[in-house]
Amino acid sequence: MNKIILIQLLVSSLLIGGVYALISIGLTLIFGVMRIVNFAHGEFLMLAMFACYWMVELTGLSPYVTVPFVVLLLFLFGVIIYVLIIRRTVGSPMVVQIFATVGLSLFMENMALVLWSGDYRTIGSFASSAGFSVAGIQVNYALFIAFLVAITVSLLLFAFVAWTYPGKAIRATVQDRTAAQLMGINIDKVFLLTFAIGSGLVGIAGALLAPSYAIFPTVGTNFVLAAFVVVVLGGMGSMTGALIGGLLIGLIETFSGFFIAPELKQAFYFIVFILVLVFRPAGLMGQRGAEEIGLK
Amino acid sequence: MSERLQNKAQLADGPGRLTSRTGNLLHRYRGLLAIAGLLILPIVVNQPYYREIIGLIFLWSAMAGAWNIVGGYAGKFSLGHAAFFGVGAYTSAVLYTRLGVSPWIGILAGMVISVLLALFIGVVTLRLKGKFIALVYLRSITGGSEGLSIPFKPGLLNLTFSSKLVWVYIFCGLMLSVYGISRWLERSKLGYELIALREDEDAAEALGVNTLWAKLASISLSAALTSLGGSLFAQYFAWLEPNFCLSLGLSIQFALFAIIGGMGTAIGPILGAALITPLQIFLRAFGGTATSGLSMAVYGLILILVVLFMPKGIVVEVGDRLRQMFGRGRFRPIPS
Repeated sequence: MNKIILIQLLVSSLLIGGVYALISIGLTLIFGVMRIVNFAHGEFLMLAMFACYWMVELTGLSPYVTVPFVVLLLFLFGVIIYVLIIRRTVGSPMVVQIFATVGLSLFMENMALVLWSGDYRTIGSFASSAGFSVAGIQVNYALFIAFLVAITVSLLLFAFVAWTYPGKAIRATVQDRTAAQLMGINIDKVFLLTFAIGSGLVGIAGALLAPSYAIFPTVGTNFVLAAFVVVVLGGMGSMTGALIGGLLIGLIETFSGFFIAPELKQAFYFIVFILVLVFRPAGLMGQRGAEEIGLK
Repeated sequence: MSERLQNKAQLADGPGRLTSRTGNLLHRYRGLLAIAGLLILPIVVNQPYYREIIGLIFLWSAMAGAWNIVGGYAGKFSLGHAAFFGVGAYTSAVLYTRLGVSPWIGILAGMVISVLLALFIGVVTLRLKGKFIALVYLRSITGGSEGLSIPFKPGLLNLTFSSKLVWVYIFCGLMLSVYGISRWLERSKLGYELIALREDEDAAEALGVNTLWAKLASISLSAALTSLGGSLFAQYFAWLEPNFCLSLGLSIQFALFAIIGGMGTAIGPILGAALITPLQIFLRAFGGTATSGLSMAVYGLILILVVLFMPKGIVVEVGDRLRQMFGRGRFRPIPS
């Protein structure tokens, strides 16, 4: 076994894992605070990738310049979806919470199919295949940038939740919704903010992935499958868990892809998923029972 | 449907006030009448296109009904029922085309495999008291995108018929069986246990309900019926595609019919399918490939609107309104 190959695999898995973490943090944040699983998360990602694609197509900008605009767009989209749909599902029976976002996912995916057809689109970017090498290890630019941003954004988010006033309001809501309300926190605003931030995060992920992956209406499903496993693995609602879980899934995917078969990576997700559910249903960083009520 | 409701509404005023004797007879034998109607319908509708639609409505109602056993009565929402459907379809089709085993045996084999799969998934996921079953992940194990076609050799042994009419009746029988099972379930100990655990799992357990057993029983029953439907579907269409048979879209469709019709009612899934299937077919007929996504997008929209504004399902909500209008009727689904 060549040492270089091993290090190369590690680097590659860290890079892809960072991207998974970025997608998963939005999902787990929304779940942790609102206790709602956004089944349309993958379609939000798809929307972000298409937004990036169209901005690049129409203006000729570099995809990385579009990141702030895509994030803003997804943030606003999150606000709209919250006001139109999600707000009505808070505190509703489970069936409403699940199938409202499942319906949204179905709607978005197929509207994308109608509007933009099922063709695979790519952004011709300098970063898509280019890379640099350090001591014989190849590093892809696009994934490297995505990884750096993922880590930075995660740290910023931790800081936001830990030290700012809205962040504290979010944490208070997670700990005890009723008590937070009694302390004068506007729960509705907290949920709105959380959902919008979660959407914004997936916007970042989408814009960063757009240069390196083909863009098509069902692209979100591929990533969100991994994201769900990451969230369950890390512990539902735990952001640190999502970060660690993302990196772990990156490792599993890269190594199983290299040593066994790349086509089977989804089967490996499934095995990991089952194993976690059997042996540690609360996930790595989650509290016991959190899978049901979403403690942090 | 509305006629039936009105009949019941009349009855609700009390037998003494019932003016028409035929109305009484109609009401007493309404089940038989409904079945007779279902049996005559495919003969009256003699255009193959509409006959096919009727057959599909029967099949999808049966599948929605099977989903409803777990999703509606037990309140465990599965988004992976297409897996059981696909297992049924592929088991019987592969056994038949590759090994020449009669589909009748294939159907049983598919049901056995589906039940085993259901038990496995059940033991793993139902341990969680969390309320959704992420069966979504199931679809990933059976990758591969090759289609499979079944040779056309008509015969009872091959379960291949040249007449579509036979199929319409087979699907009708399937739907009636699922309906019958649901009605039986509503009155059985298992049914009461499922509803109890749907409403409050801890309380049900405290009262001595073996919740694990009840959940496993319901998911196995549901999986076996779904698998049966999958096998029949494979024999009917003689062409299988994993993109369809194992898709999340199909799983959602089963759930959608039940939710739109009314979860936790025996009749809900049937009416949901009867309402949505024609819509789907007409939407598909409208556009070519460019708008192939349109029908699914409309599904999504309907799903959102129904769960937000009629969370009990169209049947129950409309039934409630009618009951208010015509006084109290006997149309009472199990409250959720």
